[in-house]
Amino acid sequence: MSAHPRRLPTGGLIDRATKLSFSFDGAAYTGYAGDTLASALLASGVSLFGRSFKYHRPRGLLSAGSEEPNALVELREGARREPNTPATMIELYDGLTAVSQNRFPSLRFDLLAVNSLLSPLFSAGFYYKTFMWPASFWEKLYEPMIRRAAGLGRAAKSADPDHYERATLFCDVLVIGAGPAGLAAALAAGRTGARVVLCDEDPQPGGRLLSDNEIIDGVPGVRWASQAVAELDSLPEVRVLRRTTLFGIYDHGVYAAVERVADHKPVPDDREPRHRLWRIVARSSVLATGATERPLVFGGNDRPGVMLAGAVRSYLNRFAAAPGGTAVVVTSGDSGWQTVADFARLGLPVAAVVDRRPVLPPALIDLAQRAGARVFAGGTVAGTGGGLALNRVEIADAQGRRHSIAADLLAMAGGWNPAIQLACHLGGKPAWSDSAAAFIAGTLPPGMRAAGAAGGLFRLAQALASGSEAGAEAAADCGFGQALHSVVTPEQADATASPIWLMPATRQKAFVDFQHDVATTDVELAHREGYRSVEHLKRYTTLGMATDQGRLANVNGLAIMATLTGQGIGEAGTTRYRPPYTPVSLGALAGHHRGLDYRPTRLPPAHEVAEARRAVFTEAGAWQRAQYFPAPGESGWLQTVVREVTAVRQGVGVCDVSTLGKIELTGPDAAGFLDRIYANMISTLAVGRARYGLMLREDGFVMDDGTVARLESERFVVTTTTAQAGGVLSHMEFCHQVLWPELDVHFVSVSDQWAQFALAGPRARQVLQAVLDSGADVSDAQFPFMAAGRFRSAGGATVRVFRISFSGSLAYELAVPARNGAVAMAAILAAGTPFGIVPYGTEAMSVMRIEKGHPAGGELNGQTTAADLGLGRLLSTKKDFIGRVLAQRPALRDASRPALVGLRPVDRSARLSGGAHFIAPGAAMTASEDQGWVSSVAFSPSLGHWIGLGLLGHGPSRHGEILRACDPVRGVETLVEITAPCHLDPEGVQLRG
Amino acid sequence: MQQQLGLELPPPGRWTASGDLVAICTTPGQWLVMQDHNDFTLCDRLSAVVLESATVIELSDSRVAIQMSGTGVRTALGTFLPLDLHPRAMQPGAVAATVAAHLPVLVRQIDDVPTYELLCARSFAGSFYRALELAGVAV
Repeated sequence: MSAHPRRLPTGGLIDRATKLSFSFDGAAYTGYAGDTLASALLASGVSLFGRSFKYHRPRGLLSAGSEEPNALVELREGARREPNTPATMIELYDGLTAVSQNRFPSLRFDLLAVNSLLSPLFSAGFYYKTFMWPASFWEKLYEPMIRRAAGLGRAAKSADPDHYERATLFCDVLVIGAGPAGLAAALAAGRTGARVVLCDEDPQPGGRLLSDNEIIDGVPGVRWASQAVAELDSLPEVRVLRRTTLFGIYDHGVYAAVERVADHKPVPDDREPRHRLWRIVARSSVLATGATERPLVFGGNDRPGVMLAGAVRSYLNRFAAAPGGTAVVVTSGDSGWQTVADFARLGLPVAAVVDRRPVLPPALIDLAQRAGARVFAGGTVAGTGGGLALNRVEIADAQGRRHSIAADLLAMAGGWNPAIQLACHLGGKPAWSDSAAAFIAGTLPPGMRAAGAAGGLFRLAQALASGSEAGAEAAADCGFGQALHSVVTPEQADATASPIWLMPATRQKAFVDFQHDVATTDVELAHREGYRSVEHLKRYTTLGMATDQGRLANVNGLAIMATLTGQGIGEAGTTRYRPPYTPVSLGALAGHHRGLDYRPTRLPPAHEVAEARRAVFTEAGAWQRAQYFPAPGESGWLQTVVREVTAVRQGVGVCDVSTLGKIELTGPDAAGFLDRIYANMISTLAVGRARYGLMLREDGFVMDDGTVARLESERFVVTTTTAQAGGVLSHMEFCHQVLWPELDVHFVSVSDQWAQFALAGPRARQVLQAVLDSGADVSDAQFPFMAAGRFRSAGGATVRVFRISFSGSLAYELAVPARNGAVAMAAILAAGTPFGIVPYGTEAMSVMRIEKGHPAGGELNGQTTAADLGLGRLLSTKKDFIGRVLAQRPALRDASRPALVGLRPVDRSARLSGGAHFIAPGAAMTASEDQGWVSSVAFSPSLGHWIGLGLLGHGPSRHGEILRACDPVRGVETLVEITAPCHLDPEGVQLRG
Repeated sequence: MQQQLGLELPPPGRWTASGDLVAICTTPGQWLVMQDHNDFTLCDRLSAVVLESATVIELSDSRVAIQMSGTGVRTALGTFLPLDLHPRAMQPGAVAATVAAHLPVLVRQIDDVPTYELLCARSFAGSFYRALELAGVAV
């Protein structure tokens, strides 16, 4: 037996000089360059490609395109294994390996085919009916069992070795689809000089011209297409994207497409991405996506050997592969007869033609005679026979008599569905067109025109004319060339006869959705059980919910439901189409953003110094911050943090606080602007002084806090928390640009300009003195608490010094230009060595702020008011500011709101648990007894026990109370005493030291 | 600025140059002034010129700049910047602010080789360079 029993001796767009070897389910095959996996297997005599989703029924090729619901395979092996890949979209390459899916143990012998016998169990809504009881079985038994039985292929288990790219493309005219209409549109637009992008999912432009025998301008359609592409490739402003599926349309002329750059190669070339995600920004577009042929719904329509008539022509004409030895054609109109003609031309036998129309034109009768086919006008298909492959077709003639015809191919032509999915992504509803006997796009997205079959214009001449017209108009919209006068003649009524939604019922299952195994009986069941709206039908039966998104199934399913409900199909409507049009790899969506490149990293200027000190780093937003600095011999983070805190409380420490947001403001109205931004008064701040600043949102809740320093009368620098740096700047920009554009104030982020270090501890002043120029006077008298000033370092560099303290100890913050950051940190550590300085990280910083009761992340959570945090007295009554009015809402002033308290364990040796909830002793641990929660906890080395902050209803009046802190997540409960938030040195003696 | 430094301040979306100075308009009424081989005296130099008519904020340490040039640069940058770099859309003298690969980036076209200068916040320097390296894989 020949290796290619079904390969035609001549013809096709394959390169017979380039032979390719591949394997499918472990068997070796060969094909030619230009083949798809589907066509090569077909030519090799393979007709069984997969098993169906629910019933494990044998399935063969249904289509030749991206709508394929049956022939889904796992492509490649190992880390590059890709499940659910339509064999019809896989370009053959040498060494390709693929295996079939959803079969056990083998494709020909599938044990789970017994599901067919259990089909009453698997009917529509089976999830809901069969597996409800007992409920505890669902997660452990039913769901895993269903998933394994229904599994469509296995994803790769190791990291994808390839890389993916994302890119942006701008154009005047985007043409979607490179069939005759798309090529005509691209030519018309491209010739005007407009920037044009033409994309098509196929490696070769041409669309149906590659599959049908057409003549354009006296040359074969295939040659016309290649000439058109050659001209487009020669135009400098035209770009043709092959293997590129446009899968989504978004607002403002943004389109998303995925280019399969290297899927047709064993592995991508050096530096080549596997896929490229294109974000295309187009001023106008032409929808030339063509149409998808509708299957016919009859008993046994899923048997391998039943194929769409247009796909049969693709295999015959494009791939020179005969899908069968003897064909029967069943058609609802002229379309199927094109396939009969191709069979006749190639000398292949057609046993019978079934046409729903009772009376046929003489030309078709002649054609049937030439092909040697019996004609059943007004007939239907009553069933199919065969095991794993079709061997006979049961036909009921117009009089109802049965005829059993031997055939191994049944080509079905049920009319064409314009591919309008994209046109509906922005919410446009499809509209039923009687003349096209199909749904066409109703309201198109802004700037879009439909051409050719996508617009319901199925004839070639109409496709070419409407394409040219749409392309010229689209370019004219962008100021290029002139629009054409309409040259498109209206659709003639005979192009498609009225569609047949459902042939008379038989005992065999008639499938509507092949990929999800939804049969007519499921639609009928949904109707009986009241799931009649198209959206309910979809969800109840899973019609159209497979990876093919119902491109073949939806219209038939909806039409059958419309028939059952007595509605017109136009009234019943369609379900909503959403992106993506075809599946898109996650790799393409991620692009380069994976692993360490997942998102950008920010490093403070002195990062290298912390690295040299072997800091452990933590992520704070994009920032890498030193969390703690382990010393040799330390057993864990807690021991390190205790050492760092103790060093600061008793000696001196330094912490990199460069990540704080810093905004510098200048201008005559800067002080007034800050008065409106902050809740407390800023304008009274003297030059050379700093102040705590509290910022509310417009809704009266706390937005952020920080310090405000006045460097000159019209120059301020404010800090924000690390987390809110961007948000506060945006807020200020909004306030200035929108609310008060009249204010003469300018501000920019100087977060990256300044490296900033907190120098804290009783010996901080001595270290500061050592790093500054010897003439600098930072004595308590000259530079008291909350002073701000400019100094020179011992080396003569600029230093801004702020005497502010987050730790509660005597502290200064030193800001130096970022280029000096690493040098300055090293200089501080060197100057501090005689004083026993330690670098400390965010953990020690957090311990010290909890000791002092300062609110931070856990308390500044966007749900707390100034009063909740004990900062109510800061709200100025002498001026207006953002959030003032709404902060006075009764609910925000309610004393029962959770407010900031301190807490410590009654048993001082007990550990506290962050996130625990306050429950009264003796009360049940239920949500209704919940009185608040523990927001921050730390071990205080200064006090020798755990401490915490919390938010507790009526908190300020409950100091001294004993409550339970219950943490059901960790399964712990601690008896705690409520205290004032400040645990250490409430008078601030250390601060002013 | 024009009288004393010969630098005509540009409108939004444009940049101008004179001698060793470049001015980029970043927002109405605000300019980023850069000096080749910054010796960190620019702030004082500008303050002496503008006197009371404007204020100067020191940003000399705040940004990193990378210039890219060559015939493949539009293709490479097409995988990074969501901007239309086509000569019909952007010419020398133009400036655009954008976000690319999650990074805030200021782009200035210098000539029609083309050469672009890209500015990004200093703390992002490593990620910024890495993103451009990855963009370069495309050509």
